[in-house]
Amino acid sequence: MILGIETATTACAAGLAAGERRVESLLASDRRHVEVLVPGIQSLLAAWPATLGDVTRIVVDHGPGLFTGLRVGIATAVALAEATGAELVGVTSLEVYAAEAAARGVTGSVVAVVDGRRGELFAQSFTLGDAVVARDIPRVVRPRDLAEHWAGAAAPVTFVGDGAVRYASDLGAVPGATCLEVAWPSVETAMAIGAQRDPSPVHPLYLREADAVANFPTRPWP
Amino acid sequence: MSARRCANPADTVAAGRALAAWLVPGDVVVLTGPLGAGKTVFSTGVAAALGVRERVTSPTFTLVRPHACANDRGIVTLYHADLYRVESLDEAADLALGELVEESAVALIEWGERAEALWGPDHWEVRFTIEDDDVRELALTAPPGRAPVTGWAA
Repeated sequence: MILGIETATTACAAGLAAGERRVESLLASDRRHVEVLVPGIQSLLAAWPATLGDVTRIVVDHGPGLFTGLRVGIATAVALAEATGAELVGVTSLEVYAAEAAARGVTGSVVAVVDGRRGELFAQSFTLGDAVVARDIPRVVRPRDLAEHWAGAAAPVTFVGDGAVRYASDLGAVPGATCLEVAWPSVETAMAIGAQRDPSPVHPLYLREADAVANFPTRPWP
Repeated sequence: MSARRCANPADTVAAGRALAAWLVPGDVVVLTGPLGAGKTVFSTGVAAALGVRERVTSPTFTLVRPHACANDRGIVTLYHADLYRVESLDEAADLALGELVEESAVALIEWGERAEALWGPDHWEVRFTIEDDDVRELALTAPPGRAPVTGWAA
């Protein structure tokens, strides 16, 4: 059985999948990750019914996204994997959004966008056809800069994710653009991706780290 | 950017009070300057103007200290942080200050320039320069796109 954990946005969600059967539950939408995640997993297991011992793989969204949420989700996933011996698999919030767009029939250029806070987005471009193909790496970008970039591109584009909800006025103004409102990355989609992937250590994807690391050694340090 | 000359610590407190008048919920203020330049003294002025009643001291060892505020501006909490003793970026990121301030708080971050990318482009910066024993120069940079502040240099 797969357990899925989603904490990359203000929403907290979890899911279970085994064979053809899948369930997903939105546990809270207002940043109460630490409060609702573990009880929520217990409720899902009880309702299935199953126990933690039945979980053989844990799929966790490791970002980019809300820092205060990700650390709860990743710490919980790592702890449960350690305790149960379940395999641990990470997926990114951005690839889950892109796959969600594909599941809804979107094709062509798709930009997955997560609200990065502080007036920025975490974004990654994909091409959707027979498969979901990443066109670049996840990066931090201002909504207006992203909109300008796509306004200069000839092809229509679909923005998908919570970032497309928050910045619908900037991104929706791009000629030929569509904003697909998906408020949080789907746990079912994450579990489907994670089912196909080799287990590996999971670390939070912060994105801003790379910039900040560059600044660190250049300053006097006590 | 505009610079304000502070002849003594009381002037530096007054500068903190002046900045507080422009702060809105969600603001992050990075305080940059050498040890003893007045960053914590300045912070007491900001705190006083936002209605913090308790004593504000350097959060060097606690890294971040939340202070309850009493004002009519929607700023409920002042997070006073100090990255002087932070040894890695992970530690700075762990404070999640950029997210904590959303909606109803502001943050003052001493030595915050060490992890500037964590705060995003929309933050204030106050750069402290020691002129002599008492005199300090405080250079203020407002977040991009914010209405320009007037009267800082006075």
